[in-house]
Amino acid sequence: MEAQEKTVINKETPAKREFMTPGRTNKEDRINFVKYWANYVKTHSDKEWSSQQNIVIDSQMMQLPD
Amino acid sequence: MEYNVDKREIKLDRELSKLDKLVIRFLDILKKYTDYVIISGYVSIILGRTRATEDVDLFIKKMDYETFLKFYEELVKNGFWCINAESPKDIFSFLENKMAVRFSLENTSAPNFELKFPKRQVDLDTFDDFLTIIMPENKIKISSLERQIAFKRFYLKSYKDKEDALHLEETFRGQIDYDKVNKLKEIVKDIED
Repeated sequence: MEAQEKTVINKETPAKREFMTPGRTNKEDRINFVKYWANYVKTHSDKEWSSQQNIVIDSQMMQLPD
Repeated sequence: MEYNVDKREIKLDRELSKLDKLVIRFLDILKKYTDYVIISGYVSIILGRTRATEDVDLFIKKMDYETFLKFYEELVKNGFWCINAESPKDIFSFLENKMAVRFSLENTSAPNFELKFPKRQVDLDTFDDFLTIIMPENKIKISSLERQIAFKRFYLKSYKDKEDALHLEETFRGQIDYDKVNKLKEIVKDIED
């Protein structure tokens, strides 16, 4: 019982999710993602979006020093 | 990220990528010798676009050979090489002949820094139409968002370039001067290489 209450107390309220509209074509889907991501950049801290973006960038820059 | 249109500054507190760190390392050397403005893809990338790049494009202000030689020697001392030629005279001659030259870390080809002297008046104007990205420990000069959007939408025009422009337009919606974009469109749409 105690453990269950603890779980409830520690549970974070999930943020309201934003959804991306799928595109009918590859081109439209890419454009929709660019818009979706730009909105993410606008609504989240620089540290938050850049840490995700860096996974994309750094994975293609393996030869570079940290 | 906070864009102050009047001050022409963007405050950015991002985690630096490996690419950002390399750019800062290169600029720390370059700015001792000449003025620069970063143009094209990296502008969108540092401002959040989710893609990597093989090159970072920069306009650099013209310098004489003596200054270039010192710049080149410091680059070499710090582990960079030129992928177009080894002789500084040859490299400088490419620049003087309106060609771009590329520097990368020794024994690599990418990512690289593509440097060029301004070729046309619209290129030269970039030095009067730049923004400063202010990060906690570094500043970087980039061309204005309107200039980026105009060049990418109406001159370069690939899907990648149009998506780069879209990223800037969406991220800075309400802060883009579209009269300026349209004026630049009229200039860049007729550029022939």
